[in-house]
Amino acid sequence: MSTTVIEPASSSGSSPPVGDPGNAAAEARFAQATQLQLTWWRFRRHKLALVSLIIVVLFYLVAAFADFLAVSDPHATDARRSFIPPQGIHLFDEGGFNPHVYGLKGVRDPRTFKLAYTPDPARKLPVRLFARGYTYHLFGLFETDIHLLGLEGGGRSDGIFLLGTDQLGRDLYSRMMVATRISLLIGLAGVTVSLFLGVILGGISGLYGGWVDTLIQRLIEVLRSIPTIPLWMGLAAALPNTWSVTQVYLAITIIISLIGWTELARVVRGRFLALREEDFVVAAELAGASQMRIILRHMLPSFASHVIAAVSLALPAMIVSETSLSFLGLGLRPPAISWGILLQDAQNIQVLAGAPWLLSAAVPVTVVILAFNFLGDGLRDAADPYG
Amino acid sequence: MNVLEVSDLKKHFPIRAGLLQREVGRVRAVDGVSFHIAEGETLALVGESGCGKTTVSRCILRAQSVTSGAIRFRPEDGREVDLATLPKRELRPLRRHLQMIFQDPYASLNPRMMVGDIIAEPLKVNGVPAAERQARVLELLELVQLPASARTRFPHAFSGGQRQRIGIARALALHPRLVVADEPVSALDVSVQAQIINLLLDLQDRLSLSMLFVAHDLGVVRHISDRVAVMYVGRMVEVAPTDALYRSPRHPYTEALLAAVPAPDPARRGRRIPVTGEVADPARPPPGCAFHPRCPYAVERCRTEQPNLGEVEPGRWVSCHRAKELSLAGVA
Amino acid sequence: MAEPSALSIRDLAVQFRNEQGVIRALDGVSFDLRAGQTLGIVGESGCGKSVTARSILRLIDRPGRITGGQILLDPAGPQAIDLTALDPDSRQMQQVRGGRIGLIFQEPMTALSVHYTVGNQIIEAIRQHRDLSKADAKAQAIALLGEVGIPHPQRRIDAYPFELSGGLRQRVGIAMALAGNPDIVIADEPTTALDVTTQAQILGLLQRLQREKGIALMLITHDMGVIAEMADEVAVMYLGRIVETAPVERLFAAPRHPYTRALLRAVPSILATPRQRLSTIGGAVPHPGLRPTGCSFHPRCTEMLGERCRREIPASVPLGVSGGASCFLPGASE
Repeated sequence: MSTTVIEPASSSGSSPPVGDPGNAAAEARFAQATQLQLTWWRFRRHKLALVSLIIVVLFYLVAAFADFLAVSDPHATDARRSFIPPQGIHLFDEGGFNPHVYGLKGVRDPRTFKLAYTPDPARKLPVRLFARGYTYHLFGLFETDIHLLGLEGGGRSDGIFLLGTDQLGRDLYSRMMVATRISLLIGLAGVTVSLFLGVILGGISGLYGGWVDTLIQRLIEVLRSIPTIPLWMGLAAALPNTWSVTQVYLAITIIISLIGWTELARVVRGRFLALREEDFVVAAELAGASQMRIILRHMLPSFASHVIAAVSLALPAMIVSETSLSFLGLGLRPPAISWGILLQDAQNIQVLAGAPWLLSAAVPVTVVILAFNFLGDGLRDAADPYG
Repeated sequence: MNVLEVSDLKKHFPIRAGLLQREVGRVRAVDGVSFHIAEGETLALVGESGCGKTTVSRCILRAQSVTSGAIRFRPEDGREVDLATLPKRELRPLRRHLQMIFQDPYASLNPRMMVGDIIAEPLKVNGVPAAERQARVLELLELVQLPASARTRFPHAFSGGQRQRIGIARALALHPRLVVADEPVSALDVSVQAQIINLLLDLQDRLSLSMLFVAHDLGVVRHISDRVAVMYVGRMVEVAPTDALYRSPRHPYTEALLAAVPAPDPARRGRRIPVTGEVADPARPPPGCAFHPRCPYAVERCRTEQPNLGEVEPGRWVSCHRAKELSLAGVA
Repeated sequence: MAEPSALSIRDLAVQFRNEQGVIRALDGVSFDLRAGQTLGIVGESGCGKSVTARSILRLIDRPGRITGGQILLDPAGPQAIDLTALDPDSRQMQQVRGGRIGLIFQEPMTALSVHYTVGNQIIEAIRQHRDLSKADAKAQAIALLGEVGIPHPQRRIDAYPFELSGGLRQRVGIAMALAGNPDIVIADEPTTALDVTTQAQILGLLQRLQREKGIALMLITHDMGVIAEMADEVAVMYLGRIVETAPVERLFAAPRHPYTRALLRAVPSILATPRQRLSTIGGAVPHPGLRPTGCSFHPRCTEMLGERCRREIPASVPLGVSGGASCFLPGASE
């Protein structure tokens, strides 16, 4: 029907980039790329998001191997080593590579006569990789006592204090590792619950419309109009004191996802309504496809990417919620360890003046929240370059 | 033998206002439209935006409910169903006989499916076995003049014209009795548009397609349709064989429409006198004939009495009080 | 064509840079817009016709950039201004925009705000270019609305744009373009979004205004019918270049470039015979980033001469008595 036969590009060898065989291969690759691949290619161009992705992955690796990375038992208290400032690892000794830390020495303050423990440069304790330390369960399954770093020799109070210690003499670095696990997991668990509620309720809302939709939307509005802090306070106060750490943990997860699902439900409903009008969905309907098939085969893949982006933006909100709840003393309670609980120690300004390193728990919170936000933005842009 | 007979179709959209959402008025998007499509025939439904042509096509596909009227459809020989009143459950098995070609070639293909799967989808949901599907997809690709290699590619690798071919292949997959084409070439560039028009003409010849061709471009319509139905503010004003309608329109609106099209010929410049005024609001159509405020031939009767569509000569229906006395100018 | 040139475009080049590389949206475009005449610019999507309009008004946004050439306002006068040398945000450029060159958009809502009445916006546009009191500007605005054929302008001046129909909105868009009394008007697909009877009215209005005000009109469209109806001279564009220039009668009677010929044959016509097939141009317009070498039309051309078309770019032909085509075929360019 066409009056012209298109010259195959390769026959006019002189005309790059069309005639370039490498380019033809690239073109074929592009033509057969799935939406997932295209999304990944677009995402890769987003440098900040890519860096954020790496940071987030590193954080979750820390969470997975928290006890392995910790150097001393995060729960072990020792009055003799309270408020020890951060201590570096000295890498070289006597002209050779010989990583070591200093042992502790009790010094009486000449004015207050208080006994304070400070590092003693005369006593060098070698640091070893994959050393033995306290016993823990890797992934909650395998019992082991191997840690990334550990001391050889030394007394009961000696240790590696990368970020210093708190009032009770617990190593802040080790506590931070374990806190990372709890804080990140509580975010993940909260998002999972939110996602479940959000997809189900948002989906029902978008699919059925009518009074069901109106009801769900009003419910979302009511939930969102309640100030969160008083709501949390009320709910947290209702938690019995007798509950175990795990029970409180679960309860807190549910409390923070109670608000979190509304945003996801909105995203799901919005995409649902938009997609239902799309020509390709109408085409599937005209082909005689069942409601179920239309949703699963044609609509779901199209908003999966949006949901993933929404999740990566909801996660930091969850993490912040847990941190602030615990910081206020409404969330997890010691002996549980989370970022919020670590920061609780930094509430007292006098303590903070003497031991500013206690604030270091704020750093991972900030970093991971920023990383999640950039990652979420990058994912959203990559998933839907037009919306 | 008619594939489709639409009689006195009405689709009104209520206008609601206030706290209780009481109905305060109605947009008469389609207000008593009748026409038929014979087997193997292409009927063009033309008119300006807001005339109701898209609503008519949506009603036929039951993408929209019908206020009143009948849409009699013959999916197979000897059987007749009224699409206007059919429950949704009974509608689904009929879907395969009634397919659509969309306007926007970018929105109508699922970006997450390979072209082969897109074309095979109607076959799959209607239970065609896998081996047969494969063969049919290849056959369809050949029919719309796309290479077989297109099967494993995704829509984003194709140009607008090629995507429209894919959409046509999908619409034809199940050998539908009727194809509704909603402005299938208006989103395309001229050079590509010509390819798709020729393709549709080829397909009409080869498959003896029955088609409802919704369009606003009178040039495209003249190439492609056997008969033309002209709509204005929710009502049919004229139905006639294509050539007759263009040469000697019988309704003043048809005449105005034809005169308004700029011809690609500078020698014809300045010959036309554009019709004045604006298209009436379907929420508040003027009394009498809706076209009377713009009609240069309007008389007193036109202002008060609504004309009905009547057959003025065999095969020609006009809705105008003065259809028999006026002599109107067409295009050669 | 004795009229002096109101606007001269010389070798205009515009590039868009993105991750995939450089897209040459315009690649050496030259033409003259004569005072009181209508120049039609026609081409398919991606040919660069809208980019041309936007670069003249310096409305090209990043990552787009004018990389060469001149846009001369009053080229024959003593005070010719090269618009490419001006800062797009400068006071002088703002005066040119609207004051010397008016722009009519395809979708008039692009130029209109939904938050203000039609009158507010026109009055503001008038006062931006002329030193008038509010009352005088309002009188002017009413006169202008009447001039563009809006019924009851005294009443409609207080309407919000969304209260108007598409046709009336485009009339307001035209009034906005004329508010600063420009001597050049660029209309970018002014009737594409309109119905055919409304299109006829708007085209008639543009013709009348141009005649009355002696405006130089640059009409950008993809519709050969609109060109035939409106233009005095025509430039046909393909992939960022002008491939043919001609007075309108000559273009339709004896097109010289194979692309123009093919394009004219591909237009569906209301004069067609039943079931008449159209001539087509094979393939599709390539992506501007994948421009073929040599003559960029050669892969789709039925009259290709051979290796020369693949390697060399034919010279462009300025608008003249009979114009010409940028093509190696004998007789094309004289």
